[in-house]
Amino acid sequence: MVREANNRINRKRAYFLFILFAAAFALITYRLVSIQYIYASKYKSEADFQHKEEFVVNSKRGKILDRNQVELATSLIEKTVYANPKDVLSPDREAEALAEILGINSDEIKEKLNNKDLGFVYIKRQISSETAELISQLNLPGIYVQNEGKRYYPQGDLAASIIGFTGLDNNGLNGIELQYEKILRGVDGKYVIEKDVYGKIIPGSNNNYIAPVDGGEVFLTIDSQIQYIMQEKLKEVAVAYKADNAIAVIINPKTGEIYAMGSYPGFDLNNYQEFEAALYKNLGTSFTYEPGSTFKIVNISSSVDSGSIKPDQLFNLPPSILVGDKVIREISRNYNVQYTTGEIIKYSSNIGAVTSALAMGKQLFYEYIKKYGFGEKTGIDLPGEEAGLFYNYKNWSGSTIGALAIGQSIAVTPLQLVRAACVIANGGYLVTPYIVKEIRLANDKIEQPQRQESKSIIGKETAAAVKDMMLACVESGTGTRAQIEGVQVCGKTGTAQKANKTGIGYTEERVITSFLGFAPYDDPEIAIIVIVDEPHGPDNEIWGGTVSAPVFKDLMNFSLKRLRIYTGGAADFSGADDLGEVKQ
Amino acid sequence: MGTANLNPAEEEIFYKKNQPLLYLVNREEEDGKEKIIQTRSGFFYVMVIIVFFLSMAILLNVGLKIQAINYERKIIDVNELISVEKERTDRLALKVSELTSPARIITSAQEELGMQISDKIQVMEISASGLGAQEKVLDYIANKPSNSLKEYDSFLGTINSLKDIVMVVSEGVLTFFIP
Repeated sequence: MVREANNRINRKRAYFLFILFAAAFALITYRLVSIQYIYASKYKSEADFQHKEEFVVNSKRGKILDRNQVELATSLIEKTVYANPKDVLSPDREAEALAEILGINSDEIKEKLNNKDLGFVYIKRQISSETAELISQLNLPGIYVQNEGKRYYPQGDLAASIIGFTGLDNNGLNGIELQYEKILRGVDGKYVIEKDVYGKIIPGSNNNYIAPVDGGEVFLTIDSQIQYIMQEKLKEVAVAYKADNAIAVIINPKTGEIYAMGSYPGFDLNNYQEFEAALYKNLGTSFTYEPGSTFKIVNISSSVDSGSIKPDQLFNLPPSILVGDKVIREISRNYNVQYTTGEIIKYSSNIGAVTSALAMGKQLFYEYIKKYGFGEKTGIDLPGEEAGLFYNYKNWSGSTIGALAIGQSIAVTPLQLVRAACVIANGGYLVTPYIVKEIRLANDKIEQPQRQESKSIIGKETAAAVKDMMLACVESGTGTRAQIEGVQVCGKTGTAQKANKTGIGYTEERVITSFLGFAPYDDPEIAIIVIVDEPHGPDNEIWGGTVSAPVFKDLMNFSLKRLRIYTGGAADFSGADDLGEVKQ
Repeated sequence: MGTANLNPAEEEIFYKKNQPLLYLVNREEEDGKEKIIQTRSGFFYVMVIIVFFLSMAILLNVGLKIQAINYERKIIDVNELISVEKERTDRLALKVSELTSPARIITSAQEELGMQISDKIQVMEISASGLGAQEKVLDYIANKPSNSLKEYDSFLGTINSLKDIVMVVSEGVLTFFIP
C-alpha cells in the first residue's frame, strides 16, 4: 500500500517535472525563435551598434593640372582628431591631455566630450602627422585620428578663378573644383571593425574593408606660363591706369580651347578666405559690359554676309546721324568723309557702323547677333557663366539699332566677344569654348569631355573680308600699337562709355577700353581679348588702342612663341641640318 | 550502485548499459569457469584517431589564424609605410611645383639676379635630344659662336657661356624660364 502510494507520488512528481521542463523548453524555444527569427534584425542592429564600428576612409581628391601637366591643385593627407563621446571614459582628464597637445582651450574640448548624445565630434582638423602621433600614443578611449585630404594650390593666385577652391570638407566651392566635383572627389571607402566589451578591436574578426576610389585628374587647356604672363600684364596695366579691373581671355580660334583666362585683381587660392568674395568671380565668363566698337566686327560681318553691304562698298559718312530720337556722333570728326566698309573697321567709324546696321534692318541684325551666340551662355565647362543681356528686336526702341551698331544696348561677356572674333579667324565657325582637355580616372581610363561641334554661321568669304579689315586696323588704323614685328596681327579697338550710375545715358569719364584680335593672319592660332575697366589717365590717352592694345601685343607675342607658332625670325640657322630638325 | 552483489549476467547487462563502447566476452578459464573480461573494439581506436586529428586540426586552425593575424598586422604596417612614403613623395612633388612656378622663378630672376624678360626670344626645337644631340648643338654653336650667342644675348638676361646655351636648347622642349 505504502509502495503504491509512493509510486503515485513519484508519478505525480515526474509529471510535474515533465510539465515544468516542457514549459521551460517551450519558453526557451519561443525565446530563441523570437531572438533569432522574429526580432532578428532588431537584435542584429543593436549588436552591431555595440560591437561594430565604422571608419570612413577618405578618398584622395584628384589633381588639377595644366596642359603641360603642371600641378595647379593637389591634395595631401593631413590628420584630423575626432571623438566618439559615448566611448570616452573620462572626459575631463582626456580633454586636459588633448588641450595640452593641440594647444586649444580644454573647456571647449570638455564640452564636446561631455555631449553623450553625439557619436561623432571633431576635436581639431588638419593637424600635422607629428601631433597626431602624440595623440595616438596616449591611446585615449573614444579619441581617434583619421586621415583627411587638404587641398594645396602650388601656383598660388595663378588661374585662381578658373581652378576654384574647396571648403574644409574638401567639397568644391568654385571653378573647376565645383564643376568637376564628382570626378575630383572620388568615392570614400569604409572600414568596419568588431570590438570587444572594452572597446578594443578583436583581432582576426571578419573586418569589412571597402577601399576608397581616389578622384580623377583633370587636365586643363590652360598653359600656366601664358596664364602667368597674362596676369602680370593685366596687373601692370591696371596699376598703371588705376583701373577697376583688367580682364583677358586667350583662346584657340579653331578649337575653342582656352589657353588663359583671368583678371586683376585676383586672389590667392591658398588663403581665399582673406579676400573679398567678389574677387572669386571668373570675370572672363561673368563680367557683362557694353562692348563698344569691338562689336563692330559683328555688325559689319553680319551686314556683309547678309548681302546688305559689300566689303568694298564706298559710303559717304557725315559726322553725326539721327537714329530714332538719338543723335550718334563720331568721336573726333566733324566733317563728311568717304569710307569703304573696310575703313569703317579700320578707323572705327560710328556713323559707318550705324549705316551698316540700318542697311540690314532690325530683324536681320537681331538674327545675326543671335547666330553669334550673344544673349546665351557659350557652354564653357565652368560654373557661373553669364548669358549677357540682349533684347528681342520686337522690343527695340527707334534708336536701339543705332546703339547696337556701335556696341551699346547689349551686354556681353569677354568670352562671348572673343568667340565672335574666333568666327572671323576660323572662316565663319562658331566654336564652343572649353577648358578641360581630358580627365584621367583612378583606373587610368582617359575620358574626353563631350564637346559641341562648331557650326558655320557666316560664309568663308565674309570672314576673310572682315579679317582683312581687322588686319588693316592694326597695320594702319586705330590698333597700330598691337603690331608685332614679323607677325601679321588682326584686331579691333574698343572704347565704350559706361552707363551713368543713374542708369540714364552715358558718361565720358568712365570708359571700358578693349582690344580684340587674333594672329597670325594667314592661319590664326590664337585669339585674345583684353579689357580694361575704367582706366584713368589724361583725357586723350584712354583708348582701346592705347591702353589695351599694348597688353594684347605682349600677350600675343609671348603666346605665339610659347605655343611654338613659328612666324619667321632673324636668326640664321642655316647649318641646322646637322642637328636634325630645328625650327625657329 | 556497485557491481559487487550482482551475478555475472546482471553485471554484463550493467556494463553494456553503462559502457556501450565496451562489451563483455566470456572466456573459458582452465578451471572451466567463465570469466568476464573487458576489451576495446576497433571503433574505440577509430574514435581516438578522429579525436586526435580533430584536436590537431583545431590547433592548426588556431595557429594559422594567429599567423594570419600576424601577416595582416604586417600588411597594415607595410601599407602604413607605403602611405607615409607616398605622402612624402606628394609633399616633395608639391614643393617642386611651388619651386618651379613661373611666379617664383621670374620674381627671383628679376629681383635677385637682375634679369629681364626680353622680346628677342628665339625658339629652337631640336629633335632626338639627348647626349648626342647636346654634342651636336655644342659643335654647331662652337662653329658659329658669334651668330648664335647674339641671338641668345637677351634671353632672360645675358647667357655668357656655351654650356648655358646648350642647356637651353638641349631641353628639346624649351622652357622659357629655365635657362
